[in-house]
Amino acid sequence: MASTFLGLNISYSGLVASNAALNSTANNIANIETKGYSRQEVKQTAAEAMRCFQNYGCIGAGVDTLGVERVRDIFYDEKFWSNNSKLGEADKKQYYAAIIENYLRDQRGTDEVKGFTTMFSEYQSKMSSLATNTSNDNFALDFIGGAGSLVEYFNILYNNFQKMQTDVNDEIRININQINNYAQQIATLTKQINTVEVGGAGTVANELRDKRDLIIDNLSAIIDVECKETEVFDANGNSIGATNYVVKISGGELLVDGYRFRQMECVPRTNWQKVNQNDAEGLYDVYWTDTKQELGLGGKRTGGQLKGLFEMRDGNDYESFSGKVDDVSDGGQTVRIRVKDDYLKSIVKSAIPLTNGRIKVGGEYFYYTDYDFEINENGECYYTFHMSEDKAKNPYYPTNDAFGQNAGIGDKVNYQGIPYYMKQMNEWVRDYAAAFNKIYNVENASDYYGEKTGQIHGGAADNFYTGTDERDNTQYLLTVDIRAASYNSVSEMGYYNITAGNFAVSKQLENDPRKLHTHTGETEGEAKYDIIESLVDLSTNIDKMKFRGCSAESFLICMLGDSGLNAQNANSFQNIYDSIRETIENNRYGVSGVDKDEEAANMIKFQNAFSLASKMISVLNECYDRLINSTGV
Amino acid sequence: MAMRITTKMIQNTSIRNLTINKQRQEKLTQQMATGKKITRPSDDPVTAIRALKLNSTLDRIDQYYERNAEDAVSWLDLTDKAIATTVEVVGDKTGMAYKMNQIANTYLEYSDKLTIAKELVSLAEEYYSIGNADSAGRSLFTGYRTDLPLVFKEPKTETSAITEQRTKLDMDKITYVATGCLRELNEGNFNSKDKTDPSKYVMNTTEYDVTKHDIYRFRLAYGNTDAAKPIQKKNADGTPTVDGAGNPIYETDPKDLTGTRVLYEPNAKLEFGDFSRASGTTIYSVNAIYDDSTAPPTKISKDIIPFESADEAAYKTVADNPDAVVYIASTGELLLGDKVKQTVAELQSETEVRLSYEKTEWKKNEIDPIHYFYVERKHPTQDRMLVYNEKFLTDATPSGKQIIEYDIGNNQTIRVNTTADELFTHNIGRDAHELMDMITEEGIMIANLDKIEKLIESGNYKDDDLAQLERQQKALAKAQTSLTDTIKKRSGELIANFKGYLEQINIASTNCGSRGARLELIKNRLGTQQENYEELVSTNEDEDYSELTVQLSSIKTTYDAALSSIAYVMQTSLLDYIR
Repeated sequence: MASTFLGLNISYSGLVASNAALNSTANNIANIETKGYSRQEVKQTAAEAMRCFQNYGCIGAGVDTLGVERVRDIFYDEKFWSNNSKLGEADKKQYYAAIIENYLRDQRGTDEVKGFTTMFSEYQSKMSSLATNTSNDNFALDFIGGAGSLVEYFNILYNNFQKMQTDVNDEIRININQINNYAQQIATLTKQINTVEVGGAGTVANELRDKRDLIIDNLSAIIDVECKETEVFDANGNSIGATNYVVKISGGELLVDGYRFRQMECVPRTNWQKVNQNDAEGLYDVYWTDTKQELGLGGKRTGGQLKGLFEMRDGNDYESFSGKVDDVSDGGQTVRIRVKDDYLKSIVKSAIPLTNGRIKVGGEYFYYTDYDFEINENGECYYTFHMSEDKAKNPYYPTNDAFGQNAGIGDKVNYQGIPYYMKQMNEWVRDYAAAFNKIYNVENASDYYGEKTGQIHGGAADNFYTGTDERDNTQYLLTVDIRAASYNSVSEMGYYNITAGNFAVSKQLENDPRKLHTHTGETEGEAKYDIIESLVDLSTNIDKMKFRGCSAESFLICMLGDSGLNAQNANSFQNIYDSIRETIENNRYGVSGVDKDEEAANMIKFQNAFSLASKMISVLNECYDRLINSTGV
Repeated sequence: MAMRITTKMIQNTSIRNLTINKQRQEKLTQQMATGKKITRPSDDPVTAIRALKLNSTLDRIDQYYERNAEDAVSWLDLTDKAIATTVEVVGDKTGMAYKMNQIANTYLEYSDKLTIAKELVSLAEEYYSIGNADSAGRSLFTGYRTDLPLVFKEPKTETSAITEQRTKLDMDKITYVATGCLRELNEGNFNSKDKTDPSKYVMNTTEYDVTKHDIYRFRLAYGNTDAAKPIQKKNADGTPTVDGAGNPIYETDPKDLTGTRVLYEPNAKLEFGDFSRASGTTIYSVNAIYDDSTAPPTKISKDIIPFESADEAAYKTVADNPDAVVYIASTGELLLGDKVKQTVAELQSETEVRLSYEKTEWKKNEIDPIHYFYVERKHPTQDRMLVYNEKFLTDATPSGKQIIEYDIGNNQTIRVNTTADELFTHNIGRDAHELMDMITEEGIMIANLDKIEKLIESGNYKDDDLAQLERQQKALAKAQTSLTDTIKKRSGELIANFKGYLEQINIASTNCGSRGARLELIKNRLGTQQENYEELVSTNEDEDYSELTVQLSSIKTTYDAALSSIAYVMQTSLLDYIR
């Protein structure tokens, strides 16, 4: 026969189980709004039955309360993380694409914003009016004023883009710091989890694990993550209850391995380490602190906000300087590179720093002071870089082994980010300035004074559009033709010096509008307008200027096409990933979420169980009372 | 197993749905507020880009329609008015052609003729002053040189070296009446005797000496041009060199082998033939022109004999010498001897004939030559020459015509200006003045005849003196008749000339008028285009309010429904029913 007091024990186990269940329910209800919390369940099993050697065989021994475990499905977590990275990327792109759209905005009507097309239209109108009133100073003044506004539009736009690049850059640093922080927290949590779980067989550090998963949730928004948890075995191959948690980011780079974690650092580029003519000062390169390796963010496998930010900051539509070393001379101080990309053969598209740039030759960085550009009649194009003699910059020069190696400045980033827009602006500005100046300085061009300008003002200084050299606030003389076959980036001034940021109207014209060239032939009369007429035509005539296959005035149409489509893409991706996130999140809630009704039902259920168990004890108590005090006495 | 639906899920989904709903509402309100379909390009890049394109086109149409076309209208109107005045001044109602007709076809007393001639001269002045018509200070007829008047507003001293480009058709025939010394006759000198030969009278012109000569000439655009004067040698101190008798010594042409050819200042030239090849032309020149490629240099020009004023000797020179070419500065004429005339007459009618000369003294209302000819002038402030209409001499078909065209549509321009050469010719003034000169000449003869007749009537003179007076009376009478005939004939020719001038002016007037009509048509079309484009812009970017309102109210309904259902679901739970 079973022990007389077995029933009491059984009841007690029920009481314990119900109590645990009730507590879990209380905990669930308490955490119903806690972020990252997973619903917990009491795992219980019927206790092993006892053989009691009676003819009825075995008797149940009550319930075993095994433990409290969170309900979680790692499958949904992984889905969530990979989607969250994509969402993070789309979020950032959407945000900045909307800003770009605002910058490029051109709106008529009540909420007028004067953008390029409106400005350009006004400028064209002024030019057209000038053609019919060439003899009137006021019209010349008005036209020059219009040109001034156009120039200013580009200056402001360029500065806005540079400012935005700085903002993106700052955000990158904040994100990197965040990752560093998360890495440390994850490692700490893993340690704590193991402390709780090792030895206490079946003990699960539910809350700590929730916390760690929540951090991974956040981390996955910043950068793509891969997590793996493995059990730790002792030398005999037996589990010791501990687990190892490995987090990899950015397409497989190790961030956390158990209790070890890695850190990254942001190193701002100095003014002699630029990789793009248009870049703002102090853009960060990100390195792993331990290995000094660059974080491979240019790689395609990465994701997350950081990817969005990097592509926005560095996106050049897959156009950057790259070529093969063709000649190494002067002990490596002079390196000639042959390039094959068409965009590198054109002055208007030139985007590498003219001086103080950083070039990667055979995987190593070197710093150059200037370069010579050369293109021959067969279209073979060479850049010859002169490396800085400063030992602090170049401790050594490329060796002869560099011959045939790849060389490049900056990365090719396949997104239309800030550098792309700036390059487009530069391209237009340079093309337009060159085409304009060419017409403007046609042979025998003459101003109001009827003077042959070449003689009076010294030729090259007579350009209408030029750029301001910010070092000394002078204007570039532009002695190198836009189609020049060769130039030196420092000793000569050409259209490669002009950017949308320094684009300017000749100072002498702003001081004296009567120096404006309106016609050819000094004795032909002030109302002749052949130059102005040709300039008016420049805006629509694609033989005179072609910007991306369209006429000069189509600049904004092209840019707006890019930015509109990019923004539209970002919006729709953001929408898609956001709704996917919602679905996955709902799935997760479906598994791990706390439901009020369920908990209420559980509450009643476990209350009843508890009451029943209690009742059982009192019933048994009565039985014992009867048995002990009243039976046989 | 069916999926668990948890509180959090319902919350999540509900909030998301509400957000989407509110986003739509926000967008609709924004559309209502701006009246535009899109608020940012990414809403619909195609619409945004189309809006840009349409707006640029609309801007351009506005510019054409509201500014350029208006400018053109005002320019054409002013031109039209000026041309109308010209027609009046030159025309045959009351203008110059009418007066010319009076002289040619009615019998007039000398004094009437003189009055009409004076009227003609003053009408000519008026005609030229119209040339300075302007639009807000910009000369209408001077092509691109709107800052310069067509005719001088004040007398001016400024040397212009002019090259006129003509053809043989510009050569004309005049009748010169040789009157010998009849002009100078008076009571004091009619019977003076030659000092060396007392049997001869000084004033010895008889009626047989009064002869008519047909002379061919090129009349320059201007009279009173610079006389070709021999250059006097200067001493070291700058004073003119003279010989022992006090006669001036002149600079001689260093290239001249005879060492006697005198150098003149300035040069006057007549050149015709094929200018496109070297030595393709025949050159007549006051100063000899040499081919320096030979040694010694070969003279390649023939001589022009310069005269300062219209002396009879000048005309006699060409009348008597068929190879001669004479340049008269005061009347601005190049007279051609018969043979020379023959050579010119045999040229092709389009062969260019160039007349080069200089002119320094400009009268008020004389046309500034830079609007017509190749001109070289000193730069007003710098030490170099300015060349006007440089291309006239080099281009086979001169492209120098200064046509102002305004853009009034896509690849559509309208010419607004009428150039001076279409409306103003030097000939009108030259004709008037020439006629005036001829009538003045006649007047002198009449006055002298009157004097001589009075002397005869006075009876103070007898014998030889009376015979001399009677001879002179006959000569003067013949001179007067000849001149009267010549004037009649000349004015008859001038009527034909004026018909030509008037025709030219009428063509200019018609052209200007038809341009105005064309402009009117284009303006109408531009107006329609503007409306069309405004409509296109509106259809492209403006939102339809009624549709918006419907959408907005339907969204509102959905929103309300969502809110109430969410409130219903989220408010209650099992707990509410547990007692």
